[in-house]
Amino acid sequence: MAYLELKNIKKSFGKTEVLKGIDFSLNKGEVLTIIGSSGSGKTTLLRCINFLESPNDGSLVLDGETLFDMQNPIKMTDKEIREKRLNFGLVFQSFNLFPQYSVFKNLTLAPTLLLKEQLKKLKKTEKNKEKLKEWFNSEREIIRKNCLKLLEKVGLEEKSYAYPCELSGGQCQRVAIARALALNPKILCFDEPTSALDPELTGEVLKVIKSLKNKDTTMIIVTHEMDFAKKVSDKIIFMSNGVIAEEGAPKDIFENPKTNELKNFLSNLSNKDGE
Amino acid sequence: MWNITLNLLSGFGVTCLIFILTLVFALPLGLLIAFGGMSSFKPLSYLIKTIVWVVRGTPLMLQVMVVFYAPAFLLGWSGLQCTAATVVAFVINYACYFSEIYRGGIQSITKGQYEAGQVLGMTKSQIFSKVVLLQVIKRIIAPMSNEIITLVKDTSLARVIATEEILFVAFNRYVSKGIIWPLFYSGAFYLLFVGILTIIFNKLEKKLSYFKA
Ligand SMILES: Nc1ncnc2c1ncn2[C@@H]1O[C@H](COP(=O)(O)OP(=O)(O)OP(=O)(O)O)[C@@H](O)[C@H]1O
Ligand SMILES: [Mg+2]
Repeated sequence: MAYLELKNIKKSFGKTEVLKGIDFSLNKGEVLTIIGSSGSGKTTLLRCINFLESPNDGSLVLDGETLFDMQNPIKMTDKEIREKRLNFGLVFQSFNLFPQYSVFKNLTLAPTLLLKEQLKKLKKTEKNKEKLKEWFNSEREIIRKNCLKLLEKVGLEEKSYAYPCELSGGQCQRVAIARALALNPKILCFDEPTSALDPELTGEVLKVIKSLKNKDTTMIIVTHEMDFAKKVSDKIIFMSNGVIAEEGAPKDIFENPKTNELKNFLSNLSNKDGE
Repeated sequence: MWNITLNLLSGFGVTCLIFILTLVFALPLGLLIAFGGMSSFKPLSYLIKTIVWVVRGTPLMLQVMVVFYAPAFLLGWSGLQCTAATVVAFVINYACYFSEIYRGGIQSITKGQYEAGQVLGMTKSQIFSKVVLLQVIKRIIAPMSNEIITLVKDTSLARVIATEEILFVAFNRYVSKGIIWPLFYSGAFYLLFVGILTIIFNKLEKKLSYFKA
């Protein structure tokens, strides 16, 4: 069985059906790219996966665990949703960094809050306050070290104490990527990570994303950067009107498109480039 | 001269008392009203919106009079002592104005900030306190300082029910007896007070200028 398995995901907003039954599966360490024209439902799909929208139908299984199944829906508490959500990370088109915190604090905030929650729980059972404090401090040190390492990974260790307003768009997005990684998600999702950037800044972000590709990092990337998709993906999904019109290896998609929709989509893109 | 200063000072004490008590109660109450008005539970949000409309749509002086006289006239209660009545009316009035400022501030935060918090596994209250709150504070400092400076001067409306705040003292003890200059003297107290507040708000604004939101 695949690492991530989505079955028949459907989502409507009012009367408009945006996702009309999406199925796909993904193996651990693979990179999946989702392409498709504007309004085809790519963002909505990522939002369903990240529990920001609740789908009307379908199921999602990750690593053998059913995270949701709308056929037998169970009422989830906020806490359960939060726990399930932590399996995924999401990088937004518009970064959404927290402006009042330094780059470093943007990374450490969420892991530290989780740690504090854990501490609170342990306090109920553990009598030895000293030992607890020691444990907390060492865990916090681990978080700090990990976050520093992540900043190094995205090439921004010297910006640790800068604020988001002092960074370029490309740097902001690299921070956002590091922030998502700080929680060690099983699957990292990107929604058009370079669409809000000036063309000369897209390269640095795409380079970082490419550098994350290894046997343990599983990624789902929505993008309009076809060259990047070609290079980085193990598998590409082309979405059109709320369904997967075509899927396959990059070579199949770009060199041997079968459906008319994909052919049109690709030729529109190359026309745009020719202008 | 010394005597006048002392009398005006005691009036100024009442002014400050109204000011401080109004802030202490209206700042948190305003936040509750703001949340109530934004609630998805329609009856509550309509009720709150109506109350805010009435309070903002009628003069503060009228509200002070209503709080002071209505309990005695309508219900036969002994009613509140004048300073207490003033504070009650002011708290209700200012909480409604503050609530609108809070609401504007909270609603100006983009959805993306909440969603970023959500995908990072934060709880609703963590998102509010750790992500949204400081950004809201930064955005509402300017309108809030306006409102709070207005409050300093609005305290003089309390004289309508004979609350012995500074302007009441200046007028009833001196101006009505033909001594005009305590009026200017009391003006200096307001100016000084507002001056100090302005400095505090500027400091606060500067302190939060390190980030853009
Ligand atoms: N919250 C919402 N309420 C109503 N309609 C929505 C909502 N979110 C998305 N839609 C609609 O769903 C459709 C798909 O939107 P979605 O954002 O998923 O497309 P997309 O493939 O990401 O497009 P783009 O490439 O422009 O980002 C659009 O027609 C959009 O208007
Ligand atoms: Mg989109």
